[in-house]
Amino acid sequence: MKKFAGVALTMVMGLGVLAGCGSNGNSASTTSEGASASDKPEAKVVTISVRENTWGARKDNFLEAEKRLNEELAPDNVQVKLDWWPGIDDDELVLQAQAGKVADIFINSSVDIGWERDAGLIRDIDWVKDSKVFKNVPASYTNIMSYDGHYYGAIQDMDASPVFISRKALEGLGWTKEQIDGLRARVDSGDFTFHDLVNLADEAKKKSLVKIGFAVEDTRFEGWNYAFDFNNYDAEQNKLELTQKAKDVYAFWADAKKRGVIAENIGDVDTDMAAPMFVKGEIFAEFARTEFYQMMREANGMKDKVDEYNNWFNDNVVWIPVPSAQKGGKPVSYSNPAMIFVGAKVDDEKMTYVQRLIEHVLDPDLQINHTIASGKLPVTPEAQEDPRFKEMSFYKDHAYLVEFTKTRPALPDYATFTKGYTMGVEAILTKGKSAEEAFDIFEKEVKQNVPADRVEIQK
Amino acid sequence: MKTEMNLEINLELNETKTYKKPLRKAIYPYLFIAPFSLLVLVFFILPAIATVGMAFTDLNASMKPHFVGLTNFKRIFSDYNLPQILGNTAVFAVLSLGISLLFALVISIATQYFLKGKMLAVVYRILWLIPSIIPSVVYVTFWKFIFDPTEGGLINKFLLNMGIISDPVSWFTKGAMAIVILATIISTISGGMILLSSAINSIPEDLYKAARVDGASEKSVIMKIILPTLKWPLMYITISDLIGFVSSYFFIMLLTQGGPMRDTTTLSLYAFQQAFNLKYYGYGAAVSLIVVFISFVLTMLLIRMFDFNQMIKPSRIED
Amino acid sequence: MTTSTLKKALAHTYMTLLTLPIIAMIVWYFLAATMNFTTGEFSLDNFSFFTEPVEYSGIKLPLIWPIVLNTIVYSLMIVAIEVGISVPTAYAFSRLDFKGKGAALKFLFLMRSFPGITLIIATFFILVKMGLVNTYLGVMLVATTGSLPGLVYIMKGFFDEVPWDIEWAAMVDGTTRFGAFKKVLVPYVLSGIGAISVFAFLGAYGEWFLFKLLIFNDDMLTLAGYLAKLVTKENQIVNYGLITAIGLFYTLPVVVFYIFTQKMFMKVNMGGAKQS
Repeated sequence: MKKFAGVALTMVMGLGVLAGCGSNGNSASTTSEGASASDKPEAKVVTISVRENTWGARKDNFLEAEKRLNEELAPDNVQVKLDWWPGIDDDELVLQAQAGKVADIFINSSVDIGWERDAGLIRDIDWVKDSKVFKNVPASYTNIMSYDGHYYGAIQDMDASPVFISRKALEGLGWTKEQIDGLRARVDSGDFTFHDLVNLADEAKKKSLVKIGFAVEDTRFEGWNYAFDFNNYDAEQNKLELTQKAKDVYAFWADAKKRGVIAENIGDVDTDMAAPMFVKGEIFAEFARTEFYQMMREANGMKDKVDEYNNWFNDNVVWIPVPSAQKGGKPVSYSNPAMIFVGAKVDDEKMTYVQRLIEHVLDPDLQINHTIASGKLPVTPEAQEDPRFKEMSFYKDHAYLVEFTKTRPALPDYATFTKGYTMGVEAILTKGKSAEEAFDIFEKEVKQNVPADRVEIQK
Repeated sequence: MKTEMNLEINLELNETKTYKKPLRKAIYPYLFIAPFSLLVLVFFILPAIATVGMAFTDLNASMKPHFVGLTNFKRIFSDYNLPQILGNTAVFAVLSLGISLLFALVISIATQYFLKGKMLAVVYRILWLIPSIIPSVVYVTFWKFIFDPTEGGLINKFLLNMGIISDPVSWFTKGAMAIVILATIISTISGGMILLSSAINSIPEDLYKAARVDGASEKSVIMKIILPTLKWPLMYITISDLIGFVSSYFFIMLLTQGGPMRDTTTLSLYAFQQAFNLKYYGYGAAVSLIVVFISFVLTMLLIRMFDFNQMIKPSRIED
Repeated sequence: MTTSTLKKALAHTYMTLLTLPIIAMIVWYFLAATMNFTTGEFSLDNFSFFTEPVEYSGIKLPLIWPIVLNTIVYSLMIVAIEVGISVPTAYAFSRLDFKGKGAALKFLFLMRSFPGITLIIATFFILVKMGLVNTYLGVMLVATTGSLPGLVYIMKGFFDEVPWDIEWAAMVDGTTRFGAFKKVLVPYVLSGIGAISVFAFLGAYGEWFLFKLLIFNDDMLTLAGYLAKLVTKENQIVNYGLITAIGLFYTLPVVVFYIFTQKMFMKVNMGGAKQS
């Protein structure tokens, strides 16, 4: 036994080492310390700590921004140095702040502004008002950058929420190429409604063209709320809002469940499972974000064959924004954008360097690098002018959604509010409850768990 | 803390006794337990007091606590989910404990009595140990794969191929609690198994031989010789596993996140969600104090049931 | 004779049936780590963590070997501390009489009613005040406090089994109590120390939660904390292949470790001496 175990262990370890050796050739050294040595007097070094995961091109962009800033600062004999810290969860963020460890710059969601400000993690960055980088950014973005009269976050990237529809399924329903290609225009004009989409999915499922009607990324059900004009949030009063319109959304859920358009495990099928299924033509409509485009490329095994993939995409997929439930209504898109925050300990003197670093991160070409790596959309009009962006028709075509893209409110209790909403959804899906009962559950949850001064419950 | 106070009392008492223990002798038992007591004081008693204090505040992500009196507790007891959550906790803890104890017993008796000394017996025990040493994040991936709600899941694939079902079954919405209990049991059995096996191992072979000479059946060997030996290990496992189950949340969080709805939300998962997901630390502390209270009462009950005092009664003689 | 063979065969059958799911589990872990389920191809890509830092969905973790070293150092230090503290404590509880002993023993049991998670925030603040946050010492002290009650009880079981005569003999010979403790008892309960060392080691090896909250630097992590880092935000597991591959790397040494130490486990006997 012992011998056998020993042999097994060595074998596994050995295999691993062998496997690792094969891919060992790409460890290019990036240390360039000798370059900074010069004959000038000691340069003033400003160390800026940045906390973020290497996701997309975020880290590369900060490193490139550091280089560009240092070129600018060379005449002043100042040098900025980045200290890169890995990203962490919010609970660790809160605790580490108590131990005095807060990065000078870190990235988090726009919804986190509220509690981060309250916890003293971040400081105001009112310079964005006058910054030329943000001058042309649409108001819908700058709105979410401010909270309680000050700017606290600099928007880093943006998202849109297309619905990916199986072209083959539509063809199976007898749609012509012209009809399919004209679908998006009909959604934009409000001619094609959300209910039409439900009916199509139902039909496709009944004809066994697909196995699943609707699928959603994780549990981001918000798009459907917006389609029914249930907006969660009253910006003027800065309060969450529970309106009777939620009942309409629940009515859709109950109906779609009954007709089999939505399966009861809709929340359990993650996008990494959904992407291969969509590629196989098993899903009629996937409600996801632009990143899903990227995931399908990988599921297709065309990670490096962009042209081939684009051909496949055009032959198999058509995307539309989420149609409005109202005839003639505007379509919907939603996003959960990332923001760059500045730690509370950064003083005004250091802030000048922090500001210039952040502005460089938003250089148009760097934003597009990030788009290519992550599937997120750039945030400034200047970046949308980048020729590489214009070439990527999928992303470029999304640019217009940005004007009406909705974002989550920056209220700490939004998570609790949404949990209540999801309880109602799960009641319909797994317990066969009616729309009214689901609404009652939602209301009960909100009344009990969301502080009364943060929410308005409409009768 | 208690022991240090007792130290002084003890010294005083010793002064008045007719038979005087030398001072050094009265102190040294405390020297033995001093490092331990110090650790317990600083990293258990102090945080426990602080946590009790926290439960009376509205501490949240802003880390500026305000005293709110009994508000948190009032909120818990008026929470309409509380009966369901308590019910879930009871179902989860009792079923997990009962089944895993039974399995631990069966495996221990099988490997240490029926197959004693056999190489395969060791192999069985090692195999059973594996689920408990696999890191939980890795362990749950297996269950997620088995009960995957799509056609890719093992059970769904099997049933589909057999033609028993035509659409994949959504296991995690249909039988979430059963999955959670199953996963928990399989990873906890080995803890009890080790203690029970070693206890059975300590029974002298002569006892069995004598029993066989007397013509005792296997059943009476198990009932009259093996089971009585297992009283203390069984008590220890019962208490520590029960408390473990009452306060465990991690598997549930990774497997179902307490869903669907609150069907698999236990009280401690609820406390964790309140404190760490929603950042209501004060309220979370209050909920977890209820968990502590329940475990506390259970422990006291079990200690009484098993006649704990006899187990810890002073050793036979002392200087 | 035949009936006993029959019984053994029966026991084997039942045990094999019972163990089948676990064998299936083990097979699956190997498959998940080495197969690409979508294409059905065998690949060792997931094992490239042996030579490169792990990076996926934006999480970049340091190379695994320094982490392995951390794990070994941390686990051995925990073993030293926990054995060093629990042996004298268990001795006192087993052999010495002092006021408050019964209460203290009960208290040990009741300590378990406080799940570690309950106290973690308060503990964090205490560590901040002591300047021990983000240090191994801080983690070790907290971890030790948590696992001591169990170890003390196990160790007490071993002391309880030592016949009094041996200790008496030593004392009659004129050695002091400390001397008796050292010369006579310790060698006798070496197997007990072995057992609690194994328990302490396994506990330390599996510790991840304290590392997640109390250690800020990724290069100070141990293997268990390293694995926990791979579960991304919102507690989602993203990369199954990578997690199972690293999980195997993590688990195999423990299995081997257990194979070599399982005899020690078999000597654990709680309150056994009170049976007679």
